[in-house]
Amino acid sequence: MAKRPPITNRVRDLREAKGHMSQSALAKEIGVTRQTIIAIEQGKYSPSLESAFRIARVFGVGLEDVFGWEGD
Amino acid sequence: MTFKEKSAWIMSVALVLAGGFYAWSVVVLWQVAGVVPPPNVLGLAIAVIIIIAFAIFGHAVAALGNPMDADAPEDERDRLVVWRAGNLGGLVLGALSMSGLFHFAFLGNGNLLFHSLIAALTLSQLAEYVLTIWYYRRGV
Repeated sequence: MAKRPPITNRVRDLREAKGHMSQSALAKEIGVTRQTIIAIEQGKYSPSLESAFRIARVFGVGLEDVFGWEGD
Repeated sequence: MTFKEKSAWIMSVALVLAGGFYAWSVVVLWQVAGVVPPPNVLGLAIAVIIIIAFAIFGHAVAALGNPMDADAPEDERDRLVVWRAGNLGGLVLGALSMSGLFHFAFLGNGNLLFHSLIAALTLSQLAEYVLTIWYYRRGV
């Protein structure tokens, strides 16, 4: 139950690279709560495909530059 | 902590208090009468008042603590947590209700059936809130 998804992400790094963008600001751009951004960064939640694309678009990078598969 | 998780904590405590009070009132009546007592309507009414009062007070305090969070609409993670917790809570309700119905089928005791179904409703709802907290904390 509540197994950690095998998906890694660089959301925190990309946020910091984008002028220390806050979690709240990113959450507002994506249309989720700040707690959901925190859960994504901690690897406790894998966002929907739509939100994943939205995150990648905010940072101006491709989907695979944000998300990866554990072990790859 | 999201407002929804705070809400689940508030309702869990309210249910434990109200359910505990009702269970205690039935057990006391059971010990006095020596048989399964009939539905304790007054005890049930007090339990409902405890839940309502605790829910209103608890949610008001939680909302005052962070009004923006309380006003935030549900997002995709909230919906997934609610769906998963509700799904498992429904299974608990079904299993406990069936258990109560089997007791009635074999023992024919309507009072026991009533108390079993009240317990099923309370425990399944409690399971749903506990699972909601679990999914928010451990991931979904």
